[in-house]
Amino acid sequence: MIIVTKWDRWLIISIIFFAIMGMFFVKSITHNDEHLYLIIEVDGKEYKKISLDPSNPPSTVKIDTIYGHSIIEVGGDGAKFLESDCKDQLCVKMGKITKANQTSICLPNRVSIKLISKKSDVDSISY
Amino acid sequence: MMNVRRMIYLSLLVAVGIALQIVETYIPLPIYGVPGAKLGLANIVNLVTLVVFGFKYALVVGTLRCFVATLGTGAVTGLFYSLSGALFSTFIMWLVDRYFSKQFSLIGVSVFGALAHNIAQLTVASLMVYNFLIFTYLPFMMIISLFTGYFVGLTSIYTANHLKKIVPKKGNGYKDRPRHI
Repeated sequence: MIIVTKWDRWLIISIIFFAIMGMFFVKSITHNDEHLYLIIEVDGKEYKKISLDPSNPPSTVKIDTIYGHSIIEVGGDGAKFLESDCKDQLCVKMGKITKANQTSICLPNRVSIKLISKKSDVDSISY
Repeated sequence: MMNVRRMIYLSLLVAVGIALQIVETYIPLPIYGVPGAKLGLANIVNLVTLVVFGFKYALVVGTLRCFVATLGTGAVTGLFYSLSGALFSTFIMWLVDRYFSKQFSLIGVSVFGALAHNIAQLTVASLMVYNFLIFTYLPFMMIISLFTGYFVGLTSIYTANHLKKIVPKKGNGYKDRPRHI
């Protein structure tokens, strides 16, 4: 009984190949060489834009919408979801984002935070 | 009028799918960097239904499973993700099973399904929050879906082999396609 065919092997190898290529592509667009801005979006609309400065002490931003309540911690080098009243808590588990073009999303509350640098080619797609 | 025994087996499959999907939410998968990664155990049911009963019934079983499991887990936003993922992955698995069943075993079909599941869910998520940067998670999810898809396929091979012998073949025009195993 042959369980894994030749085509299956090629499929698995090609998926690993494409995933590694994708990781390199993601790494190439998440780099820090410019000043970082944190953009907080609620339901696809810009809620707040914060300029990150390493000398600033960490602060928190509260977001209260009809979808739910979230608290975002904004530090000098990045941001993260501190707490959120959503069910799955995935946004809190995503951890801190510190590089340009990284993103963290709370889907039930429809809040997304992302970092952009001034020079970024992905912005033209996102907006 | 559908064969009653076939109908009973179909409803049993729906029940198993619901149970798997609810139990799955209690299994943590602590992988750094990709929150929300799941085993995709409920995909076993979709794949088995597709192979044993056919495309139409796999769609019905997947849809019913998503709706009832949502009542069990209570995550209403999760319905859109699980439903879109289930429908799209069933469609892709049907395409692969229909036209490439000689080349790919059920493991290959299942890996295609897991991949389609990821793409559908990320598309729905990016449309809901209007943030296409969420696709940066795709490469990591692809690697994980490779492992989960492999084991879902392996499980489905054994399940489908036994279920094919039990379920009565009569009446619904599903022809057994030649395959390697």
